[in-house]
Amino acid sequence: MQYEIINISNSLTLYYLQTDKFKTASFGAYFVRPMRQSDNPFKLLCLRVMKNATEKYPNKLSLYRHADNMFGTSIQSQSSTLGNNFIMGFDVNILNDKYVKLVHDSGDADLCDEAAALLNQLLFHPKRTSEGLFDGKIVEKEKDKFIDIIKSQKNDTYSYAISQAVKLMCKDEPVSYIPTEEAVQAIDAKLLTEYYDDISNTSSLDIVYTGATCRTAVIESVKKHFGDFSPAIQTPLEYSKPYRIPDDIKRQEENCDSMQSKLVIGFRTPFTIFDGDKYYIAIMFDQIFGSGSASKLFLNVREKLGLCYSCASSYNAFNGNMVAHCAISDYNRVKAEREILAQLYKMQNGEISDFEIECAKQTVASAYNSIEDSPESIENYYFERMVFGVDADIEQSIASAMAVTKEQIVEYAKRVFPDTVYFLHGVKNWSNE
Amino acid sequence: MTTITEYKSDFINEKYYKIEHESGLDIYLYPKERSVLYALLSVNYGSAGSMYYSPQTGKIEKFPEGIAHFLEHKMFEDENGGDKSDRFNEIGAYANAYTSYSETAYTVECTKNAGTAIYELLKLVRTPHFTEESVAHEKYIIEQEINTADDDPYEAGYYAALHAMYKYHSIKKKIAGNSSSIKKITAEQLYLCHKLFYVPKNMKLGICGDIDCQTVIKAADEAMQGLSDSSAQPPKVYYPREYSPISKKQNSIYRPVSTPIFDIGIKITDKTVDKQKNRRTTVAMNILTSMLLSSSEPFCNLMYDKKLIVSSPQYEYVSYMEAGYSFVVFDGQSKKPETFYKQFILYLEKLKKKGLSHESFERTKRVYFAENIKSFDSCDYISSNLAFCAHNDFMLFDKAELIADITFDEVSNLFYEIFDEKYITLSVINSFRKIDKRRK
Repeated sequence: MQYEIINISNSLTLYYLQTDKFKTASFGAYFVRPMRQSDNPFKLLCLRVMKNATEKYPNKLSLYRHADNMFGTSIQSQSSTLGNNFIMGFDVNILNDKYVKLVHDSGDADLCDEAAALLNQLLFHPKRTSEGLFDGKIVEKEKDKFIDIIKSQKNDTYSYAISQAVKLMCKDEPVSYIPTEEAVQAIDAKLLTEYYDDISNTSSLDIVYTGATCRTAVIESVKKHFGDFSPAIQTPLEYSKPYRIPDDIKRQEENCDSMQSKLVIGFRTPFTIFDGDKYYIAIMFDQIFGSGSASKLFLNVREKLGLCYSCASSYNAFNGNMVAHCAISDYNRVKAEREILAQLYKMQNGEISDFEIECAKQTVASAYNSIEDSPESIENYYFERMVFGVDADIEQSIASAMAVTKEQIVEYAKRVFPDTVYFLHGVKNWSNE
Repeated sequence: MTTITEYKSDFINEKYYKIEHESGLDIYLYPKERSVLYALLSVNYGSAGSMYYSPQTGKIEKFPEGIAHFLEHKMFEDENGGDKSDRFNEIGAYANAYTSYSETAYTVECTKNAGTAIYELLKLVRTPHFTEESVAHEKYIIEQEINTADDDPYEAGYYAALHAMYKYHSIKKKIAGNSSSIKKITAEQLYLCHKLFYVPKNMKLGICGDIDCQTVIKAADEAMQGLSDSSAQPPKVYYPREYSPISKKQNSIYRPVSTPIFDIGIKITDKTVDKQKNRRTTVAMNILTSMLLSSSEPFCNLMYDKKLIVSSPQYEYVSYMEAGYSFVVFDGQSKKPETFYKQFILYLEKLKKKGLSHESFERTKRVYFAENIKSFDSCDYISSNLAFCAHNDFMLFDKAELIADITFDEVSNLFYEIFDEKYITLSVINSFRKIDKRRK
């Protein structure tokens, strides 16, 4: 499985993959660019506003009804942070044309072209006032919702603890740019319009199609709806690596009105997705250390000591940071921290069994093989790699992971350092009703 | 003797097989060219079934709350005190499990060794191995799981809605039980629960992926070998019948949330136990709830514009008529949940005078029809739905025809019948009411 990369123009690239495995197709259009501190509140608010209304569909009701009439087409905004860069745009999931006739008698719709037209409306024709600004009412309404969502982050104490740990660990790195209420409050329709105009005028555009429609028809639709896209300049992506050995472990504690406490430990690791075959050592390490039911964290912190329901690690392939986390009773804090670190030290000392390595390899191979089972996962996996010029071949990735040795994992483990310990004290203030 | 029946869909040109295995287990196999194979073994026994009629005495016996979920955890223990997950990990498969109100499901995903993975899945549910010590140890883990769930305000909201709708029914009890009920669970009770409910006639296996019937039958033959009674039936579960209107009009629970969370529950008191009629009602109800609450309809958009909700509410229709429960619940965040609720009631009243929109009905039906076709891309969804349909005597492929067949009048009648204020409850999770004294 391989995407064809078609340069429609200097600033417009189409990634095309024809597959008739699925009943749906995925069609996305994205700006990818380096992340600045100010991007986060702006890009998220911008996407929220853009998803409200366009020139042709001047309110949410008409926009969503149009999508419904396109045989239940779903619209998703995309705003992920990839290392020092971010993706901003929309993708739509459409029913393949051959099934359209099953849904409706007038089954001659060209959903692929309609989807390209819809993406064009969302990305390039947000509703504006006669002064050329975003609609102030929509901006204010979305600011209000956005602030509610920022405030609600603490509702999910687990996610909140992880985000606070990342913020503390990666100060001044893009991944820690968490939008604040004040930053959102300071944005108005004029500033937001200026931000959008800047982004759309200084970025290249990537369009990704994964589905059954033929190459010629997709190229034709892309040219028809995006052919006149020509930004003044294009901003190159950034590849800098944040790996550094921490001088000391940063610690932070906070109280929270909850039943359980949350412990999050952030680690610096040496490799990222940009490090060729070394990246697969990182994947294998993460699998053995804290990913899944055969991992050291699961088997020891949960199964052996019974400290929590779940203890796991997650590794960020684009910046090489890893966090281990668990929800525990407050009095088990020291025990849990000690045990998580003990599992790292064991790996550094070579305490990794052949069984653990074999299980990890099997799981990693399965995970790679499963990517090709849905248009969305195919698109996410390949696009994130293709846009940075990283080799995305699945067979090759599996072969690289299978070739990782115990010695490489041990050497890698020695370069994994705890950087941050964040603890959210659960101070329960309520009774179970 | 094992028999195979084929079921075909002319709509999407796909098929599946029902394998009536000689052990008494029904297996449903949906062949599909995908990298990952999904299998789900569903035991028709969930958290709402803690009371049952004793096969010996006919009297109602009671297990502690949370036993179905506890048993699900302990089924992973092997004869040496180890974890059966290792057997799956070894062959590159991933096993997991979950418990709902009505079922306990064991799942496996794999990209190779599918026959072995299915064999191991069947062995996992057939052979319990645990001791009082290992049961005692598991209580620590489950207590942490209960605590994690208690910290989730959305889950608290959901249970608050169930408490508001039902006064006695076991549906309102938490799936994992509570810290005091799980303390009462013993190894002996778990063995008994397994013996009573984990019989082949009470289980269905759904499989979707790249595998053939013969490989599946071979795995089942080996795993189910030596079964003493393939016709054994589980005892009947006792479900309290509760057809009265709601238990509480309003329920308010404290959690430290920034914006209040609301859960609106609509209790359905239909006494029909005809499964085919319920299937049809389920399809019609799903169309109806979308017509009322989706982002393409005016009500939620208006509420959003008026800043009465933060985002479109999440809604679901849950129904298990045999067990005597059926309801719609939808949740969201609102700074003024009571005002939102009043607006919702007002909207229903206006709509009852005006009538539902034909245009909205056609549009929603079209979306629902397309969603149904799209769902056949997911092996995960297919495997679980095969088991669900099997438990309820539904055909997997009949949904497309049912959707096409549902009429506007049918949906409209349901609307007038069900969306009556006396069956509607409001539960609110907010930070205004503190119950306990602050702990130092």
